[in-house]
Amino acid sequence: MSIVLSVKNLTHTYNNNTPFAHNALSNVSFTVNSGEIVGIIGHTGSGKTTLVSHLNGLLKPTSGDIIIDGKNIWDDPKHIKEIRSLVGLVFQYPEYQLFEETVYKDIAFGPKNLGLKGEELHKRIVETCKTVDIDEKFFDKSPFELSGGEKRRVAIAGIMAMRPKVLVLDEPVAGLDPKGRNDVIKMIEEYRNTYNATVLIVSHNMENMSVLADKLLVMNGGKVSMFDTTENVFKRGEELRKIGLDTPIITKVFDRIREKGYIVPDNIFTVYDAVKYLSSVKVQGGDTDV
Amino acid sequence: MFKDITFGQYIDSNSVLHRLDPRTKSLLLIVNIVVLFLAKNFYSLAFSVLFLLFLIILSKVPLSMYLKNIKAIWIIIAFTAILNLFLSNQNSEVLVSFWKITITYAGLSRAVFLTVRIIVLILISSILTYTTTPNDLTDAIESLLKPLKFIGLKNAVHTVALMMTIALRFIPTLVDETNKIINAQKARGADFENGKFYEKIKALVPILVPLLISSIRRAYDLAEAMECRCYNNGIGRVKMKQLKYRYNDLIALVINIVFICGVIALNILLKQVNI
Repeated sequence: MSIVLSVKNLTHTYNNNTPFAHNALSNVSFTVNSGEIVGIIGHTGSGKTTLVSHLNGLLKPTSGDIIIDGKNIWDDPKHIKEIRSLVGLVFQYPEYQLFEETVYKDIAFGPKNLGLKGEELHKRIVETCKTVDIDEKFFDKSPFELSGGEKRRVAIAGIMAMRPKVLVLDEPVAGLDPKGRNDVIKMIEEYRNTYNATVLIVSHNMENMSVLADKLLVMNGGKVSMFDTTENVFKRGEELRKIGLDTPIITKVFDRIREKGYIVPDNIFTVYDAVKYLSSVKVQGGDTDV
Repeated sequence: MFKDITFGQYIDSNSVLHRLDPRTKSLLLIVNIVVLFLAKNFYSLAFSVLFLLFLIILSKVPLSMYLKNIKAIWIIIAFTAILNLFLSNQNSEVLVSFWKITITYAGLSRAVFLTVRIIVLILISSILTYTTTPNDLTDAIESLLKPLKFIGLKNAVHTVALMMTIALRFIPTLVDETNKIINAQKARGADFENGKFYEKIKALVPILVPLLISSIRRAYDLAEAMECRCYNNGIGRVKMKQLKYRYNDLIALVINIVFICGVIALNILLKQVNI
């Protein structure tokens, strides 16, 4: 596995050199391998959104470097637009940026800005929609006729159609119903698997993170407080709670069971893990059904 | 791109003018604008300029802020000046004449006179916006429009004031929203800086459409929230911050009357230099 993204000593100060200056990020460093899904968690105001806005050059670091594919993105400020095709950034509530008359045209907006035309453009859109399971019958509809979940998926597909190597999503499932949430998670996984892309997801939802993320980056007060595999991070439940986060509910259930004196593993992070574990347990003594 | 949007250019320098009642300031502004049009000759105009300088010093707002306002409308000023300079075809002493263009003495003095008048107008209005918060201004307008209820427009006063308050309240929100949308479209590779004029205009569509839609959505949300709280237009509603006239307002009024008398006196005494 090769390193695709590395952030070195990134510091960002808002309103620098004014009385209102405050550090949103201080000395953030981490590296991400290609093909990984990294979850970025942290409570409100911990600097998550500021961090992801740096990754495609929307914000300029006060100090520190962001290296993508071996290239420092601020080496040549004139070519910052090329970085935006390499790193796709999906903002919170991306459905509010839809503006075209049809779904097809809206998805085409990104790739068109990259200079794609004609047959190539059409192929790109059809292919993307196939990968992320957006039916072609939506193509001629107005994006404003769709349901919330569908709008969200179309908006995310608009970024995916630019085929970024690194896909960054800020709260991609916030405010969706369970079906919409699952659909979005599925399309993110599909995209990663098909194009071997690297994905960074900012989220508050520990359940989704435990299903999706290989690694977790925990932010607190503009600093990286943990960066480890999902398993290792969720094993440190006490520390997470101290900084306003938490472990998945199913993990807490198993913690409770352990407190009662039963011996159960401490690496249950999803309901699926729990079901798998419980069905493997041999019921001993008595006629208790598990 | 929209970083420089400022509205309600209030500058908090806590001067005497800041502490005046907003109603006094608004009324005196209207009166002074009328007086400016009464100034008929260069003497009374010069007196107005002096009065303006006096107010600018009192406001404690840096002069550069005022100059910025003039810069914003220099095209209008230049346009007025040039038109008056060339197109005043009164029978008057010719100063310069070449090709089809003649500049007369009357034209020149008219151009100078009008330019000065416009600049004074702009600056005297900006004193009000620099020293009064938008909310105070709305309160003042509501209070000043109160007499309308005697002619059966009771609710209209309240409605207008409410509309203004809401509009002012949502300007920062919309600026915020605009920046978000710009960033989102930039992330989709949109280019707002480069390109020809036509392309730049076209590049605004991906910003304006989402902005318009979200404004409408917000308006509906707000209306619903207000209805949920049984908002009722204007019945016995009281203000947390009551406006009260003080001594200062009386002093301001007296000074302003002196100014008005000065302008009228100069107009009459030095009639011969009428324009």
